[in-house]
Amino acid sequence: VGLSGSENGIDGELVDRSEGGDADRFDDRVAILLVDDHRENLTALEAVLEPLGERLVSAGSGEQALRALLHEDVAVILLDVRMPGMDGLETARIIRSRPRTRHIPIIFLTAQASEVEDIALAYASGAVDYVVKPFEPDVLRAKVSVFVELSRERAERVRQSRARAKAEAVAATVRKLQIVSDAALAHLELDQLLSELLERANTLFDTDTAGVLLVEDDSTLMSLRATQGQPSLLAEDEQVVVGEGVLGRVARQRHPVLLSAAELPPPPDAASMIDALLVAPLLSSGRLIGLLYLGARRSRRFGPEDLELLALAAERVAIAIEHAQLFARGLELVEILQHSLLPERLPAHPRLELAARYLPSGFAAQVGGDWYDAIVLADGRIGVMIGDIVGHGVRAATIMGELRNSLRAFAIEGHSPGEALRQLDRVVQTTLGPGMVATVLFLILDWDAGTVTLASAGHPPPAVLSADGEVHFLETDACLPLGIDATVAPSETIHPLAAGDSLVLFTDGLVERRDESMETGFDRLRTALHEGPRDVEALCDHVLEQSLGDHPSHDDVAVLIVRLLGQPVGPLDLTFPATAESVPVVRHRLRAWLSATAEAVDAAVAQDLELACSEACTNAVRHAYGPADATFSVRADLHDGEVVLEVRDQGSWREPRGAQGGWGLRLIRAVCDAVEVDRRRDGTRVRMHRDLRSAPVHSPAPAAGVPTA
Amino acid sequence: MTAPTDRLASVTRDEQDGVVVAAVQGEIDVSNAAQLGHELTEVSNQALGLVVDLGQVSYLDSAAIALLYELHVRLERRGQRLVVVAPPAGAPRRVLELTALGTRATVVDELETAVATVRNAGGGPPPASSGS
Repeated sequence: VGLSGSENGIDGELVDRSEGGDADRFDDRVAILLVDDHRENLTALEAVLEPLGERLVSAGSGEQALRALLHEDVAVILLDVRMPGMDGLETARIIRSRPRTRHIPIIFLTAQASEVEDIALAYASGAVDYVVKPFEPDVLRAKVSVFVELSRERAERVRQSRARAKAEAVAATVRKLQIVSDAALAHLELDQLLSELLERANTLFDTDTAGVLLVEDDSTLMSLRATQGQPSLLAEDEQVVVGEGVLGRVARQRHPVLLSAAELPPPPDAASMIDALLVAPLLSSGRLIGLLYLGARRSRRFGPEDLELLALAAERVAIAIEHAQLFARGLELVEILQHSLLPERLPAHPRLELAARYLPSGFAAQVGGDWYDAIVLADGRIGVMIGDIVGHGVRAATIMGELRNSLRAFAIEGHSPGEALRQLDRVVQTTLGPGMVATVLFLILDWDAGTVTLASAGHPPPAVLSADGEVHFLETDACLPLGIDATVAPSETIHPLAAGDSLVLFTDGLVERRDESMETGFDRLRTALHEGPRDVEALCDHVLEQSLGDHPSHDDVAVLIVRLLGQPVGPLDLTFPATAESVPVVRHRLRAWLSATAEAVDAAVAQDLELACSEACTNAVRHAYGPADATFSVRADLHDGEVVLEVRDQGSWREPRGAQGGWGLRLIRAVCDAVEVDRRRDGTRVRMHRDLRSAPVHSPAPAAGVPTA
Repeated sequence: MTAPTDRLASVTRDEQDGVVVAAVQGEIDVSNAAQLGHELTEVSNQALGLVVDLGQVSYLDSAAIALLYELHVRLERRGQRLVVVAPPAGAPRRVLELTALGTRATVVDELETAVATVRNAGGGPPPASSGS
């Protein structure tokens, strides 16, 4: 995940991680630590707690328990009070005194109810509960399961706050990297630029030496163009052939690589020894333009996060090189600036297709302030933004860069679209000074909810193109552009979206022609979208072509299209009362979930899944026992085209008897690729796997219509 | 009986060439199989047998299979014939085939065939009205 994630930039990485976490949740068993000096007591506890299905760790003394806690993450501890040597109270005090174990709930096991002082002492030393021996198995199991649940929730909160911290670190990184692509660098000569960039890179990564190799024009040879620090990795006139040697092979790859001393050619002398080397190919629009390396002399551990940061830095360095080369060819500074501030590429996201175009104004001096951006947020939602600065030239382009970075930061910090625009308005009012007007549209796509939340500050509304070619424009609450009146906050509107829908964001240059009304422009866009090709890249070109025609636009134009793919909407998770009436409801919910989750599922395959689900639910309902309010739960998840469907109940699976019996499980087995029936003491779990791509199951039985006697 | 709007399935009774045809529309599962069983038993005529048309059924599962099987056994005991109509392309057909109901009761592709099968059924009681 680390490397492929880094290829997609920061954004892809965050999503991969959250999805991975989700997928693993089912099999995460937590540990329960049992501490008792009597082996038979431990055995009894194990028997009682075994049905919980968690991992049981036993310790025969306080010392053993403390040792176990050194390497185990434990959800709850069951601790015998009376033990020879270190007793339970002392053990608890030590557990409480260690930061790593301080939070673990302890349930004391006391020998007799009359040990009142024991109980008082137990609470004083940090017990959350106590159980008197001989204990009631059900009571003990229930108590423990409460703490197991709490521990799961706590782990989830930790995971979320880590994701949040990660997002904040990413925001900081974005700001840090901004230095590498700041406007001041844009006018430097290439050699000056490179030595400046390498110096900053050495600081950023805490490395000793850095260098850039550039591909010679139209060849497979790379030569050293700039170095910073010591020792130098290559001789000054040394050339590297793409695909050959250690460095040449990295150039072939599309992602950064970490090399150890052993993988590097032996240095001429000990002083030139490089212990670890980070190498990243420099790519411009997918083409290899060179290689960036960073070397550490001393033993320095690089982690996956370094490779991620390097991927981003390499991206910026490649852009800077490209721009310096363009600059050298005499292109306008503002145009370079404009391009350097638009994202080099949009984030990759498994549930989305994105495409964007930016066309500068047809009038050379009028390079403007149109911009767009897309970012995958920590929770998997996607922020999409587009804006237009009223004005042209260097100032507009610079301000555009500021707005883009600020809005990006607000989005990463988790602000809603309305709030983010309110904050952005403050930036415009306070830092950019009067007379600066900008329109901005910011929306957040929530695939799980199937909605888009948007706020607009005076920006044209986005269009939605549905899979069947219908086009409509989303209503936004009319609101002033930023920079006019800070007291008017942009309000949010929420709209539903379905798989296959495409959101089309654009700036007014697309729909505005000097000699006609904007209405005509909107109609032309509607037609272009309706008739356009399905592929988003081709659609972008088509829309520009149809909307602009031969008319040189007097304004610059930006278009961004986001297509929602029929990818996972998140797992289905339902709990219903164990009654027959629940069965059709669950089936209908599964049907809706499946159509929202997967694109173009064969109707017969969908029926197979509904059938399997209903059969398992029917069984859960038929054999529910225990309290009248018994429930059963259904979980469905889609991974790599395979649906995993799980039905859990509190009863036990019983094969119906008699001649007509056994159809339920037989049908499930017939329509699923794999079925596991897990009968536990506290219930039954039926887990069914079905690959959506495999053909629907056909009966091996001969065609019906053959009457039998 | 619950309000029609709440119902997962409904039964329409029709008569064709003197044979009672019960057409089921909707979905059949554990939540409504018993109710439908009563309704189907009520409409089964005394003379020849019963055609159950599943052409408009969008979903059925083992609960429906159990219901049809019971119906088949009950009618057979009275010397009547149960013929089930399940179009080859429809959702019910696969479930009928997977549970091999066709080897017990009679399953046909079309309504006309079903009606003819019931009318031509031998061994049952003679037609009460139409034949004599």
